[in-house]
Amino acid sequence: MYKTYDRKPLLIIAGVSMLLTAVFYVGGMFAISGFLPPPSPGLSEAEVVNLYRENRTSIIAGLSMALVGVGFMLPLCIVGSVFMAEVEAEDGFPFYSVMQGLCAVVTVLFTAFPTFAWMAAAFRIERSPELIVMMHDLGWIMWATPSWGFAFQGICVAVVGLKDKRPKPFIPRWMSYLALWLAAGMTATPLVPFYTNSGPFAWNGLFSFWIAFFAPVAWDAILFFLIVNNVKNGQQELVEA
Amino acid sequence: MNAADDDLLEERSSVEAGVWVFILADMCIFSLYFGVFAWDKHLHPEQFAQGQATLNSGFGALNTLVLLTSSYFMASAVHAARAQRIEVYVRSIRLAIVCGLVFFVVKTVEYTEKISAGFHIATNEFYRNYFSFTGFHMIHVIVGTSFIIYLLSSIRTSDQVRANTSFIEGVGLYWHMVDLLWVVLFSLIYLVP
Repeated sequence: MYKTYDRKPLLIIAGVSMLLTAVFYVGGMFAISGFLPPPSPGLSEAEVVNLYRENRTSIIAGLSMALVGVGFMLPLCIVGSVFMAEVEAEDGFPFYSVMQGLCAVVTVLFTAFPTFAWMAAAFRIERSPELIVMMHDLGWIMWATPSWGFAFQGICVAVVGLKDKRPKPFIPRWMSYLALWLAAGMTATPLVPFYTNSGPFAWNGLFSFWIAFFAPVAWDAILFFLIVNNVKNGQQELVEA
Repeated sequence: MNAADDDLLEERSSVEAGVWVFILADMCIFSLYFGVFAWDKHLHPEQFAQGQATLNSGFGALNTLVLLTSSYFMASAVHAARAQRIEVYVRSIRLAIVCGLVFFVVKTVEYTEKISAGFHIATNEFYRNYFSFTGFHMIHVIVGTSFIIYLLSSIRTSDQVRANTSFIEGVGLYWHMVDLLWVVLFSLIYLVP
């Protein structure tokens, strides 16, 4: 019914990608550039310019590192699509798997673009302060506002997860429901541009950063370990058989 | 409570655990919304008092009534689905959809009234809270109504109902959550002084 093949190489790709994303993106954004947690949108023009003047080198270095990390999200998500396609192959064209992969590209691009805006702000540091602030704001609005790429990814994973009628599905059903919840939770991010000072929906706020950033990360990590576990058990059964 | 309700309570719920996980997670998010509202109110008591005075609690009360009624219809639809009384099920589902649409219309009228009176999401803290939280709730109403419309369009024969009872119950459960959240939002935003 379902083709059995050695899934280990794909899991290694996914694991390595996840590790590299974590090391480069988290290291670059949190540790080196200090851009995460995000600076307050309420900073004055002078404060923003100062941020770039004082940390110019570490900002550029951290953002370049983060950019590398973002790229590794792609293989991770495509491995997800391959596992999803196993379930969907029965129904003909694997719409949700393809959709998930394409939305992953969108997520990756929208995570990468802001770093270019911030790098441009840091690039000619002597330029007019208004322009630095503008690139800074552009970067943060781009970083925090678009959510539909990730939301669609979550919905696709959930639909396929709930369709999976195999005795040992890859994704436990409650994880699919949580994916739907994550997608629903992303509906708040279009409010980011209304919060020019601070507040729960500001780009450094409770909903737009702390939940919208860490909840999907936690979900991804849990999912990865669940899948590794399932594959391990599945492979053992193959050996026993 | 009548005899039919007692029967209902005795039946074991077949809603799968994942739906409960979703509802719990969603209610956690909404409790954070309530917390944010309370915190902002604590920081700007005068602004919130003035803002609340501009709201028309008649609209809010009407919508509370509408959602409670739709919850009743949804519950009777679930009950009828379990009992395989298809006519009652379809009729209840239709009435629940009508209530969902009425809620949407009333909310739209209310928003239009506020916006034409010059209040919008960036007016102040109160209105930012008001539009954000009631807006998220309205998205929940739209999603819920869409699911109920799906029930009406795709799960309406005796066989379909039998095969999808737990799905129908899941939709019902979600709809009750939407109702419950509105009751809290209504009290918090319109009533609590």
